[in-house]
Amino acid sequence: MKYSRRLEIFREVKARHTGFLTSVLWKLTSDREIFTEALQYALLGIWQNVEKLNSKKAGAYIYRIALTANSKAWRNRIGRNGQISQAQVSIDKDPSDKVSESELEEKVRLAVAQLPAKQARAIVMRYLEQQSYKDVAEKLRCSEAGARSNVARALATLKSKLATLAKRER
Amino acid sequence: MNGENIEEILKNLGSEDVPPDVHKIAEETAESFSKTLMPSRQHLLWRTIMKSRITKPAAAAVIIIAVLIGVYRSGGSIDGAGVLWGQVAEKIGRIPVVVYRRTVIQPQGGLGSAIDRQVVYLSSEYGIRRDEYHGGGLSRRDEVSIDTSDHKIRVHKFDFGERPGSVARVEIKDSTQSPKQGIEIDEYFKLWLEKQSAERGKRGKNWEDWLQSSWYIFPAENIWFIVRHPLSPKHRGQCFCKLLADEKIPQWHEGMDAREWIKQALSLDYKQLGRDNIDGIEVEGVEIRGRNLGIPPLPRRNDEMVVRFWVDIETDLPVRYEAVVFSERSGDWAIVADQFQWHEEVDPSIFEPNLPGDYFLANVTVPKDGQKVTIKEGAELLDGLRLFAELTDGRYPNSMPVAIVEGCKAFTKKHGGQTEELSEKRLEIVETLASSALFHGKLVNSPKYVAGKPVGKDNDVAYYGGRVRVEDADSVLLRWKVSDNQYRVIYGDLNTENVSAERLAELENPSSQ
Repeated sequence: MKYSRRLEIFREVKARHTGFLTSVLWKLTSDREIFTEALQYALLGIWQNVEKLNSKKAGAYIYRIALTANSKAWRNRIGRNGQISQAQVSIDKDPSDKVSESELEEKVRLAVAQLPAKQARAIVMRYLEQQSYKDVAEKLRCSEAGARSNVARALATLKSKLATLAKRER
Repeated sequence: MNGENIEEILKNLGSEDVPPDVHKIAEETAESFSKTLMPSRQHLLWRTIMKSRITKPAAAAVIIIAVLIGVYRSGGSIDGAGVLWGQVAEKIGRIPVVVYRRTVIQPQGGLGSAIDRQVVYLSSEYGIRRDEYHGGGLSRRDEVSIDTSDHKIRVHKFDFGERPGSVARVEIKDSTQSPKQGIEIDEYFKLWLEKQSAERGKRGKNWEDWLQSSWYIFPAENIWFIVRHPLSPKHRGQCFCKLLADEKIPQWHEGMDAREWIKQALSLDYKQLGRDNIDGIEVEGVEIRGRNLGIPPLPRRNDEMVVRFWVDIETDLPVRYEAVVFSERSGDWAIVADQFQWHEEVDPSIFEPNLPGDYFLANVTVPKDGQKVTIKEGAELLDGLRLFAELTDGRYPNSMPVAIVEGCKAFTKKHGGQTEELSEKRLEIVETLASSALFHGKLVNSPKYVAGKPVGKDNDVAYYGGRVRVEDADSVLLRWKVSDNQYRVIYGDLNTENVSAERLAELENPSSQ
């Protein structure tokens, strides 16, 4: 495909999806720096996959791009070993201390960034975007039962990741 | 925390509104990103038709002047009065071959920073090769400075990355920040290599002796080929072949092509740094500062960045290029490119991997339906060899790990450009050749290593593809040991037979009969 044509499609796709990306990435990051980085990765992802985003499957790809961008941005913050830097995220020194709601949300966001791709998409569609299982199934290209199963597995994975995070902090 | 809590928290996240300033950040980021996609970034995908045979060793020396001709030493400012900045980008854009050395400091995703030496060979005709040499590790206690007054990179308070949990800092020092502290980068590499020699076996005293891997990009074939030469015997000789999606090639090219960096840097507002002297060459420099400059090879980040480069006032050709990204959060990132060589022509063999017999293909990936797929090895050894011979009018690969590269080149030579149909055909070829090469790799890679020590049997594999052709029905093309005194032999005409060790010796040395 000619460069000028790719550029044209990129502009169209960007105009169509920037609102969606902003909303999803903000909900997944809630931090201006990580958000900016994730958005840059997402724009790069759009540029790299511009042909696919001009097809009928665009809806599914944009989720994939957004979630990959989110994971990359978080990974830059937390390191590839999955550990959060002590300096970057506040950690409860005493496990008996009650963690605040915002800290819990931060931990959930971090755990979502570490989920397998399909489970992350299922969680975002179902909870962050509050879509019906029917819509989730359509976007994940699976049955409604499959969508329910993906969401359930994602919740279980999240729970286990959060437990691991809590253990590390102790 | 239980499952219900998680669902509740997720719902809370979902109901969160985007603050107005975040919308503004998003708009600015999107706008800024779009600007970096200016049409000048487009690259020509080269038609590469290889004519030369492989002649160079894998660990080629950095200096290749002997094989290069037509070094540019003319065409600069008529009276040497100064650099004609308006003409620099245009001039270097016309030069087909550039070779340069670079020193890279790069954060390792929360695991400290790496400091490495690389040599890049870039040809508009043959592709890209990047040799990576073992470097050192840095941590937060370390600081690297790039000194403006004498153009030296220095490392301060180094501990060879013994505390890898944090990242190194990079500082640009100007002439007022004397006295100079720390040790120069070459001295640092020497100390680090001494430590490596003591711990892991000697190679040599200079960084050039410590080749770690060579990366090749073949743009016409969309192939990225990696050869590893690490210290550990467990991984020595591993080769990796990756078929890239079309859009990855321009990115790769851009990251390596110093001509493109300079062209893009000069399209922005720059400040002239005046005249200076670098290694005896009189130069003039420019500097660009800002956030998210979008100039390769800098990463696209919204961090403060500085790009500076110096051009020979006699030739208008770049002599040194420095780029630094300052990021308190994810670590500073720097690249210093120097020892530039600008040439008219190059020996094509530099861009062709020439591998020792015990090197093997360990992994192949292809982009399929947007996914990367690892091809499993199969028993289709003969199918791959037969296909290769068809593509090359009776030849076999010079070595099995490069079967995919050489086979795809032969295909490009026969069928030319890139249409969708040809891409699909190329994918089929890659898969067939991959099965062959991976099977060979499996044979070579036995014995396996456990904790650095070899275990299991040696298959005693030998491959003679460089000198055996289809018509050589009595010559051994490939053989390996199947039991104590039995060898499996594949002949040039692809017939196969099990023979004794004595018979094999006769077949491999016909003159001794």
